[in-house]
Amino acid sequence: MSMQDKEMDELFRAKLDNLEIQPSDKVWKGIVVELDGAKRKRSLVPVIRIAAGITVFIAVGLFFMLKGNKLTDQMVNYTRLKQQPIRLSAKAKDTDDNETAESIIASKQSAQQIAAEAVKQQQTNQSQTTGQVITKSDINNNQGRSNKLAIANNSKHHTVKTVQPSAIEEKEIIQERSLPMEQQKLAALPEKEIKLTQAVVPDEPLNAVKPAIPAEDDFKTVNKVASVSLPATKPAKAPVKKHGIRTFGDLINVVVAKVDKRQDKVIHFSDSDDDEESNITGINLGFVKVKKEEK
Amino acid sequence: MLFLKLKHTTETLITDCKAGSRKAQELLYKQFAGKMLAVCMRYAVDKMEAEDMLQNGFVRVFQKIDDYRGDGSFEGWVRRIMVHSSIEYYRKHHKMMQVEIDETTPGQSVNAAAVANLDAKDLMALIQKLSPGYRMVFNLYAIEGYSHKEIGEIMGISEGASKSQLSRARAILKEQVIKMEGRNYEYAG
Repeated sequence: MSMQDKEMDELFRAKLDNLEIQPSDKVWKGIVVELDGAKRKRSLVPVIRIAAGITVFIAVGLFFMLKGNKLTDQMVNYTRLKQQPIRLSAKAKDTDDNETAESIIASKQSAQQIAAEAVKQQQTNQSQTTGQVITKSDINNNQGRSNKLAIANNSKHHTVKTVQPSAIEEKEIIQERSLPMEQQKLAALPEKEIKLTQAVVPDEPLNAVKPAIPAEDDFKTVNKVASVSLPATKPAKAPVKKHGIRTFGDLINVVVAKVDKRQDKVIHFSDSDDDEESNITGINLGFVKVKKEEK
Repeated sequence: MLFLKLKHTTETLITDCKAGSRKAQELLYKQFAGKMLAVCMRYAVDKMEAEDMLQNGFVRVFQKIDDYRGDGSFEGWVRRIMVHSSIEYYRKHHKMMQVEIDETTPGQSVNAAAVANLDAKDLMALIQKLSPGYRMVFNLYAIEGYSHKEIGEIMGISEGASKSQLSRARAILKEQVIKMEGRNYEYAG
């Protein structure tokens, strides 16, 4: 009697189904060891993972914070240096409206120095000559005088530069030349002079000079051309707030902004375009919040 | 022993195991170890290999005992875990040594009575002599009732390969049964 495949399968199944074979004792011992080991492993692994994660995060955070501090310090110094000439130029602008944005800062500095020297000289001259003429020389008087003189010198210097003495400047030059006359004036009207200096500040006469320059002389244009290279530093500051993904920090900022909708993001990098490297300027872990004020 | 069985029904043991009682785990293990080792033996070359499968299987039983909700027999649930443990063991250790093709003489017929006369341990020995691939396919298909598609997925082979391996395994088993049958006749005669 031949046996079909199914029959044979069935016979094997039936016969083997009730079979029992006793295992050796080591099996149970092995099970206990494995269960204990697994329990220890399972309970410890997540804790270790979390601890490691936090440690790494803090370490990385501190690293960047410290690094960021150094860099921002450097940046502050750098910007201070940068701001100095700008402030100087701003002063120069106040006193001297002929000078447009293209004016050479260095030349201004030297101009002021020259002006200051001139004032000193004049003051010494005055002190020499006015020793007899001026009897009442108070501080206000001196200040007012020096102010006026400074302005006069500025404009004088300007005339040197432009090689184009205007009518007012000419007057002032004459005044300078005829020192005794001025001294008399100064001596006679000390209070008015203070007002006068205030009146001079708006630079009206200097404005009046302005249109004359391009029309009459070529030297001025030469001066302009020479100074064209500098303004690049000033406009560079203007588009600071233009945001684009230029640095790695910007990329992180964008990604974080998508995920984190809070005002203070979980991590924020500086977004100034001046520096090549990005610095962390803010970290917000909820309970720990660090934020650097951006300059 | 009888007293213990009365005292600890399977349900209470399961409940205690879920609570993490080592004693309950041991009692439950002792209750099923013999049967489950027999299951593992069919997938193994020898008892040592089968005991490894059994150990891994029971560790998983106790780790996943919370997943057993009481639907279906607990024995069936444990048995499925043992089969999976055996499959995993096979994957780890026998994947590389795939099919060894034994030249068999197909078409031989076996007397059903001859198989019936064979001892369960003899049948077990026959299965264990099969190469791992054949043994796995025969066990899964003939005894556990898996489809060829499922076996293909488990073993990472095609459905067709599963079918051909099953027919080869059967042919080998028949041949072995005939040999044993002849021996039995000799003993009888």
